This record gives sequence, structure tokens and C-alpha cells, in this order.
Amino acid sequence: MKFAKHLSFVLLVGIMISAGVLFSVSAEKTTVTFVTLQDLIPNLQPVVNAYEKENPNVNVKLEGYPFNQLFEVIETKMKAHSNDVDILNVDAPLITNYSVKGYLEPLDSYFGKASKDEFLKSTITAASYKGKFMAAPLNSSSVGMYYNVDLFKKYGVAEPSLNPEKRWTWEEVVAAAQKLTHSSEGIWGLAFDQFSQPYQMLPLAQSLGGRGVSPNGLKASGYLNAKPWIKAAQFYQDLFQKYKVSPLGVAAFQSPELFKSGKVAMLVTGPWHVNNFKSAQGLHWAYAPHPYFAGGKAVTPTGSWHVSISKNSLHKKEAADFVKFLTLREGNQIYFDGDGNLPANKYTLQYAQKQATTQGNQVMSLAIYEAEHTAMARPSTPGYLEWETAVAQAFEDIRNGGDPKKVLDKAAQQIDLTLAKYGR
Amino acid sequence: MRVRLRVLLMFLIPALLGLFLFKFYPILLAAKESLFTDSFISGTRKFVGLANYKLLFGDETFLNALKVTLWFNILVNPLQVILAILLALMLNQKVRGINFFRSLFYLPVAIAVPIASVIWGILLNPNQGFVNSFLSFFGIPAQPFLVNQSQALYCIILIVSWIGVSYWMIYILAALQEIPAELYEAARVDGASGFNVFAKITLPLIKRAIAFIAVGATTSNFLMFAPAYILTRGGPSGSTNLLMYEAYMSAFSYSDMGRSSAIVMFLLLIILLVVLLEMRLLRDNEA
Repeated sequence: MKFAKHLSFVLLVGIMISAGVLFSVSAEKTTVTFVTLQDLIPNLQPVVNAYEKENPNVNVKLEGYPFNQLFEVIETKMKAHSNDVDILNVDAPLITNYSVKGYLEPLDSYFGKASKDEFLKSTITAASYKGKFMAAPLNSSSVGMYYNVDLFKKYGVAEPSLNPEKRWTWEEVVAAAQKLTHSSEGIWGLAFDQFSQPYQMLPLAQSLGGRGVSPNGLKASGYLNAKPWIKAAQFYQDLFQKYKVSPLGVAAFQSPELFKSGKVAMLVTGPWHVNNFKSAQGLHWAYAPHPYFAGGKAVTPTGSWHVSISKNSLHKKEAADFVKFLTLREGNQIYFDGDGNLPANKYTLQYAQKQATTQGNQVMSLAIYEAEHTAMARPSTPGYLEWETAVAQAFEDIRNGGDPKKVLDKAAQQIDLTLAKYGR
Repeated sequence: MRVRLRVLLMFLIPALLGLFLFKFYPILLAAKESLFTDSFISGTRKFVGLANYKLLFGDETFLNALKVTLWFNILVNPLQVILAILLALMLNQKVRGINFFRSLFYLPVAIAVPIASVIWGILLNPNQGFVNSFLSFFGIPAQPFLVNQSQALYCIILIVSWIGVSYWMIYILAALQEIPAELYEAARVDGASGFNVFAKITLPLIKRAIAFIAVGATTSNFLMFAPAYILTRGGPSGSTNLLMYEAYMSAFSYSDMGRSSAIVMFLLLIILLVVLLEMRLLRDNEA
């Protein structure tokens, strides 16, 4: 009886100790929350898995949102000084905006000079605010034109040149798109991945010499409603209303699915869809350089996602450690393998260049060429979020038949009003 | 009497506390916020008095949103009230299987406005939408619906009414069933016509329910947000830019909490005035 009492006492103590050990282990595990774009999660998850394997005490939670909602979620959470966000994805032109609003923690104390030197210079410039390093570049970007080889053959249309020196003009694209559009069969000649979004609308105006805002970034009137923008906007509208080669009612980011199912002959988008299209059975595609306007110059979009730490994070050290893993060396290469987009640091770029030559990755070769020759950054303004929202709405209105000049005049006026607060 | 009052207060306090915390307190916060603006250069908030309100009246986007909201409400509120009454009258008939039809017409209420918006967005798609396929059977050309400046607002009116009418119908139906059958029998004996029975008996006796649904529909429709956000983003060309959506954009896309709060306070004032007017017009004189 006495023995049984002793045994149960020992067992009880044993259970308590093991529970305590287990509790302390689970209590030591830190969770960092990463608010990101929903579409990036499949590419981020392998990086998180590799990181968690090396760092068993850290749990990285990915919280994904669709493109339009991501910015609104960040605004809502940051304005409320919420500490349930540790890491956030920031689009390159928004770094200044978020820094002005005090949303971001400077990364200088976490990234030494040697680490910072690994990033391409242009991406570091975009990531800095008042001399401080606010966001680590995850990748850069480039855009070209995917086309469905089978549809070109079926309708007897000559394929575009893959040589950037002999790239098609928009006028040539429209002529081909008219031959390729068969709306009764639901086949459209041309689509943009990001219909009406400034990232893809900007190169149209920039090809004609347009600028989005004044040099101090506080005025859109006289820039957004100047001749190059009106001409670009008219061209954009004609695709839907006059030539009828592009579909109405298809929201931004939906057209790659149409391209995959053979319903779009030419799709203007970037290398981030390579893996997506490679996996589409029966789809024969090629990747041509981004078109330009006859008489204008070739311009391609650039800049992409950066990764920042929230000013309100309670786990800044752990968050910074993951951000370094994700944006430098091993982690960034894992990310590149899934994402396929233009890298933002020297080591991943070397890795990508090697792939481009040894594996014949023509999309990456072209993206690297465009980054070196035709890439043009988006406007630099502390109110980029406001500018982007108003321009996207304006181009959507123009797409649906609004008078390009009137719509752009109104958008410029509205942007001026909203940017005024950054000057007072 | 005192004890009765104390008991009454004890029952009322939890509800009043909730009302204050979740309704009045946010209103007070919004009213306060509407008097401030953020200074991004100094990183501080500045008291600006009524400047945010003053700016609104020189702001074309706001004036357009005000016009759109008023026009939307002028159309949608009477439409929902009238259709709810007609539907309730129809469903108040004592015929075989009426309960099935009552359930059928009440079904849309089970679908939340955001979900209904997504469903209708698919149905009204100009390229692959079901509605255009249906119209083509009758030789009617494909319509742009939500991507057309002159059709989008009316499409939203139809979508919100699809749910709204069914919801408000239930209140009228309940009021109709409260009317004593003897009144109708007496009228029939006196030889009253169908219209007279409706105008002299039914309508006066459901007036309170009508007043209730008029006020309810007005407040919910003035605060309508989901379809503008999900389907049109206020476009095309601001044709569906309702004030609630503009307030949301102002706060979360244009980082201007002061302007957003001023819009919300202004909207509150309009709702208050319209509701007062409705209550006056639909006042039960015999009460």
C-alpha cells in the first residue's frame, strides 16, 4: 500500500515535470505573422518550411489577402496600431507612403552593410526613406507578352519577333489582335493581366513620354492629364470599345486563366506566370518583348514586392531574422524557384542568369534584358496609394467608355486634393 | 412606483449600455475625428474645426457621391416598400400550398448582401453572364450591365431589392395577419369594392408596419456599401459611388480619416432628416 502511494506520488511528479517541460517548450516558440499577397503563398511556403526546419522555435504564419484587399488590410491594421502583424509585403512605390505614415521599422540595425550590398542598387534606392533602409527587396519584376502559338497558327497570323530590337509596336499588336479575335467562340486577341492597374498602364503613357506626378510628387494636374496620358488612355479604350479585341467585365488578375484555357491569344504579363503556364496541358506559348508605340520608346514596368517589419511588432528580432533568410541567399533562391520573377539581389540574379543560359529560360533572359535597357520605375510620391487607387479607377472608367480627357482631368484634380495633405 | 422604475432600469441598463458602447460612442468618436486632420510632415494631428466639412462642399467627388446616394435612395426605398406590400398581399391569400411560396420568397433573405453581390456579378457578366444568354433567346443584344455608366446603379438597385423586398415583406405579412377577419366580412356585407377594402381597412391598419419598414429600408439603404465595393468599386465614372463607399475609400485608400468621418457625420444627418420626414408623413393619426 505504502509502495503504491510512493509510486503514485512519483508518477504525479513525473507528469507535472513533463507537462512543465512541454509547456515551457511550447511557450518558448514564437509566432511571427506575415501579411502577404494570397498569390505569393505557394512560393513563400517552401521558404517558411526551410526556415522553420533551421529555427524550430519560430513559427512563421502566412496571412494572405487578394491584391486589392491587401492594401486596405494593411491600412486598417496599421492605423489601429495592431500588433498582430510582424512582417508585411510592401509594393516598391508604397515604401515612402508607409514610412511617412510611420508604419515601418527601419531595418538598418538588422541588415549590415555587407547584407545590404547584396541587393541591386536600384532596389535599395526604392527601399530607402530619409537615408534609412525600410524594406528588404524580395524580387523585382518585368513584363512581356505571352502569346498562344496555336491560335496564331490557326488564324494564319505571323508571330511577333522575340528579339527586343525588333519588338512589335502597339499598332502591330492591334492589327494582329483583330485577326485573332473571334468573340463568337469566346476568343479575344489581347488582354492585360492587370487590367486598368497603374503597374501596366504606366508603360503605355511612359512610352509616349508621360509622367505620373510632378517632380516633388505632390501634384498630378498637368502630368496625369497631359497629352501622352490622354493618347495612351484613348488607345486603351479603343481596345475594348472600337477594335473590340479585349474583353470588358474581366477584372484585373483574371485574364491569365483565360490565357491558360486558350481564350486569349496575347497576354501582357510577367515572368511570374512561367510556372503557371508551363503546367497548363496543351498550351503552346512563347514570350515576346513588351510592345511600344510607334514613334515612342520601349518602356517596361519594374519594381516589385519588398518585405518590411511593422513598427508595432512585438517580435522584431525574430521577424528580422526571417526577412533576412527570405530575401538573401538560400531562402531567396528557394523563393525564386517557385516565383520565377526577376530577382532583386545579386546572388539570386546570378542563379537566374545561370538558369537562363543552361536551361534556355528565354523568359528570364528577356526579363534581364528589359531590366537593363527599358525598365522605368513607377512615380515617386508619398501618396502613391492614393495615386494608384485613383488612376486604377480612372482607367477602369475609360475602359468602360468614359471620355479619356474628362476622366483623367477629374482623376488629376482628385489626386491633387488627396496629395495636399503630404505638403502641410 | 419607485421600485417599478428601479426594476425597469435594471432591465434597461444592459441594453442602454450596449447602445451607448456600440452606437453612440463610435458616433462621438467620428464626430471628434471629423474636426481633425493628419499632418504628415510633423507627424501630428491638427484641430481644424469645421474645415473638413467646408472642403466637402467644394469637392466634386463628394458632391457626385451625394447625388448618387440621394438618387439611389429616392428610387430604392419606395420601390422596396411598394413591392414588399404587394408581395405580402399576394402571400396573404388563403390558397393551397401558400406556405411553400412564402418560404420561397423569403429565401433570398438567407443570403448576405456581399454573397448576393458576388452571385449577381457572375450572372450579370457582360461576356459569359447568364442574364445575357437569357436575353439572347429573345433576340435582345448583350447588355453591359455593371460596366455601363447608365445601367450600373439600376443593377445595384435590383440586387439589393431582391433581398430587401423579401425581408420587409415579412413585417407587412405579419401586420396583415393581425387584421381581424370580421372587418373584411363587414365590408363585404356592406358591398365595399376590393379597392375600397384595401384603402379603407387594410392600408390604415398596416400603416405602422409600413412606417417601420420605410424607416428600416431608409437607414439600411443609405448605409449601403457591399455592392459598390464588390461589384463596381464606385464606377463606372462614379455612377455607383455611394457615400458609404466614398467614406471607406477616404479612410482606407486616401488616408484621410478627417474627411471620412465628416462624410459619415453628414450621412448620419441626412438619414436623421429623412427618417423624421418619413415618421411625420406616416404618423398614425388615431394613435
